[in-house]
Amino acid sequence: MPAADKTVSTTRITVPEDLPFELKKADYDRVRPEHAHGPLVAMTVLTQMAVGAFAAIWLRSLIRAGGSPPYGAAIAFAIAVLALGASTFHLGRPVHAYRALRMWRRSWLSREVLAFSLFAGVAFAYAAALWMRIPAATLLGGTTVLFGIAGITSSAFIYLVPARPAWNSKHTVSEFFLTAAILGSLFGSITTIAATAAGLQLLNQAVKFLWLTRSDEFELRASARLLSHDLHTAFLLRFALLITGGIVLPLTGWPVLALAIATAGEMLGRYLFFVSVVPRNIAASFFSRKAA
Amino acid sequence: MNLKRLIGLDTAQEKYSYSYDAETGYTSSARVPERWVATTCGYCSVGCGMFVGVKDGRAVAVRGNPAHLVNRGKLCPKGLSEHHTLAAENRALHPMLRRAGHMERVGWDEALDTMVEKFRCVQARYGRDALGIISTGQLVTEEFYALGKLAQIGFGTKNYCGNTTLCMASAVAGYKRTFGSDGPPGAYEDLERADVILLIGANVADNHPILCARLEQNRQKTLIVADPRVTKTAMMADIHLPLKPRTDIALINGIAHILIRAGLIDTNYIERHTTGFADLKASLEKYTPEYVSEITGLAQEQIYRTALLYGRAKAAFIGWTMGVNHSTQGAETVNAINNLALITGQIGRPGASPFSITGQCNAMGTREAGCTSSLPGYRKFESAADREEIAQLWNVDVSEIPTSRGLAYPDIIEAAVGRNIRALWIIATNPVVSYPNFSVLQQAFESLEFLVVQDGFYPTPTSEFAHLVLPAAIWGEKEGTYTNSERRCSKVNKAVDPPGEARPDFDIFLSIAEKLNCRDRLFRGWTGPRDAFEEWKRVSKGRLCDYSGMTYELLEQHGGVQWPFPEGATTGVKRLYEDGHFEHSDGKAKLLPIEWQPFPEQPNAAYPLIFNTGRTVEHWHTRTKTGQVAILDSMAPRAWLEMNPRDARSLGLKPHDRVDVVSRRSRVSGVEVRITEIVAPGQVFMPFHYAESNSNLVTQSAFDPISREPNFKQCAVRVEKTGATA
Repeated sequence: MPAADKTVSTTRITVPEDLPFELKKADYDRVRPEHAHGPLVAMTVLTQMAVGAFAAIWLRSLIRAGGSPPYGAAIAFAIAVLALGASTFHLGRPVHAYRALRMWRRSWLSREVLAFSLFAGVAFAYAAALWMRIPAATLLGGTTVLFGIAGITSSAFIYLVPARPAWNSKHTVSEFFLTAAILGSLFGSITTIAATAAGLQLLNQAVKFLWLTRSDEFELRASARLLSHDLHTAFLLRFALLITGGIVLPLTGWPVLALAIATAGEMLGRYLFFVSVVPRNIAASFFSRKAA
Repeated sequence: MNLKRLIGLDTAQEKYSYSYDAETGYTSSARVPERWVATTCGYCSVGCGMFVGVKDGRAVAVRGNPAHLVNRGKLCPKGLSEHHTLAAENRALHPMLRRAGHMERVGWDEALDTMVEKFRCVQARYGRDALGIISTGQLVTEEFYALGKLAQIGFGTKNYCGNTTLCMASAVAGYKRTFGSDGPPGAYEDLERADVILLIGANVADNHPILCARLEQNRQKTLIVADPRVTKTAMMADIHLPLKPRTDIALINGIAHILIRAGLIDTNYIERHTTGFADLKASLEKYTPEYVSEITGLAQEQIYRTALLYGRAKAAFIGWTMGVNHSTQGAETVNAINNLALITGQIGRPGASPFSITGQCNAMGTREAGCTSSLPGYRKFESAADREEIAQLWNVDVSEIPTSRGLAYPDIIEAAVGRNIRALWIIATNPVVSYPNFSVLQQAFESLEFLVVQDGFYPTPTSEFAHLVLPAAIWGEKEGTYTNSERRCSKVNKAVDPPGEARPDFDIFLSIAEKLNCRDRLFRGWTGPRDAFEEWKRVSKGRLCDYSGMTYELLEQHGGVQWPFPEGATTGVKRLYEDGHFEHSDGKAKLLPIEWQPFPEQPNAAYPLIFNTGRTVEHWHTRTKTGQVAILDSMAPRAWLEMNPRDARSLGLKPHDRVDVVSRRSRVSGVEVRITEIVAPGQVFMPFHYAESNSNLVTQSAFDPISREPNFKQCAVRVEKTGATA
């Protein structure tokens, strides 16, 4: 039974005090992948890609490394719009999405919506300025990147909740920012940064998996068990795509293919992020609805 | 999906709206009824009072009746969702007749004409007793009473029994042998007033959940649970006695042995109210703690401790259910329990009772009024005076009353195999799932010339074999009375109309009587259940189960009344035998020496495990009802096999693996294995509710010679990983 302060529980459940130590939950052996949240996979990866892309465009403009063609920013903006559009499909009432803004003082989700809305707005102005070669573009670029970073930070902090132990770690924050770094630098054709970021992502995922495997906590071990059993093909593929798209192809001069494969790798990684989390629940029945 | 719903403008407000109900407060609008109909739950024999909420002619909600003396407003998960059974998709809607191998819809007239013609034909050719009738514990008493007359006089067959033989027959036979009559002597109130409660083979937490609420009212009790499994009830116990399967007689005899040796018996009570003590005492000599410990696997200290607690109790209660009854020594186990209660004087006082907790909602009704194992009013077939009395009450010739009971349920099935029974009428029961050793039953069904299945549900596994299916109304669609385990008669009321062409069983019986040209003779002037109840009151008058003072209005007003309730009575009688006067001709109870025997099919190298069966709280019997209630079914959608980790390890099994359970008779395939220390090594447990994984494929045809109850609880099996031998 998880402690009540792990969630804001409204139901009081009492269990006998003298339960045997070795007593296990009836559903102990029935750990199943969680919901994949398709729109969120798309939204988080694509917003991170867009933020990374604008960062790459801005950095290149700062060091005057020839700059990207003006349509680069337009494409990045289109990706951001696509991502934010996708996210509304996750809502029960998309038409009232704006209402999410109201809780920005206390909710990371609200802050995420706020930060990405501002990001999209400024990014549009930045892309337009680059397109029209307006001189204030660099300042707008910096602001875009700043809001983007705020957005990714908010995204990551949404998942830092005690009820989902496998999410509730710094690995989540690292994963989100490294996705931005890999895909953004590939978008901006900064291959060395892309390869470095991909290497770090590899390390981040490997360390996270080891942490899950060696944990004393049931839910974390169960997450590791999902990754190494039920989901092991997808898990191995995720690493293969990361190495191929993030390291091998960029360094061997296949930037476009690298971006496509690395994006697929990060999407798969995010899918695994959602499905492999084991929530901290009270015991459920021995059965799942579907036959085992 | 429409666009408005997709973008969130349409939020299905109508579906999710809530309203205020004066009784239940704010609740979903769909569940706020126009009126509440008071009734009694139709599942188990606890007999909880409840209300059914009706809106637009449909039952939309239920709630417990806070004023009802049994449940005080509480309901178990099955009761709380009972209204969903009424609108289940598998309700029987029309009479169906098999023609050229296919079931075809026919009218009621044609259905009943065919039934009567076929039955008459079989009886004319093979004798009257070639017709068998198997009923249930689910009808109202008025229907049981009518059916008894229809079977015994109308059809003139004495081979009429009920599925109560698969359930309570051992308790009935045990009570009759000890006390001279059936009738549970105690009351639920005893659970609150006893200082020691011994439950033997009774998992009330799963099977009679509302009794747990009564148990928990009792703060002073010591609860002892004797059960081979660590059931949910055992988890509630102060002392759990995990005895080896079917060793309860040894345990009870062992307790009696210790109490006699320690002088913790009531010699005065034994002297005045019992016979046979000397023989009993002699028979108990050998049940020393050492011997009992060897048989039961319990430590001697546990046996001593239990005996001393029971012996020193001011008021001690023994409750039992199927762990005792489902046995080839069921009736004798009941006798052993009664012996213990009698020698300690633990009967007929508040808190003190040997109490069989009954199974179905109205098993008691059929025991008292049903004319199966005895004549109505606990009269005996064998007694000329009783037969004479009944003949007079029914205004029939005494020669029409059988002089002995007909075949019991298992014997009807075996007689069908032997082609002595040629036609069978099954009412509101599902033997394909509930009868042991399915292959014998299958052979019986396939040997029949005509099988009629009367049920509220269609198709059922049993109706697959039927030549004719009669659609019946169920709980919530008809009126009458149920009597619960503590002899409390409660009113059952109609809340909604039956679906399609389904009719109350009562109407069906009267229509059949009409076709038989005996309606006027047997049911003169009857129009509804109230007429049957009035006649049953006259028939029960002066008997132990005296209903003569009850009226429907009184039952409604009191929320149920305990019998005996003779004319002029104002309150029910909580306990029988308070004066120590029993129903044997000498007015005394019989102490019967009982010897423990091992169960018939012991495990061996080929079949090393002992197979135990039972229930789970979510389901009722064979799931024709509860399998259709989504909220219940989703909690326990499939059968499972409980196995101890030690056995699982030796078989290389992991949790949720699929296994086959194999006995000498057959195999149940693909059961999900649950590895748990709830069962001891060497034993496995499986629920018996599931037609899809039918435990009765492997159980054996072994019956109590006294009660004819099957030995469902123990047989020898082996477990194989599914597909391992394919």
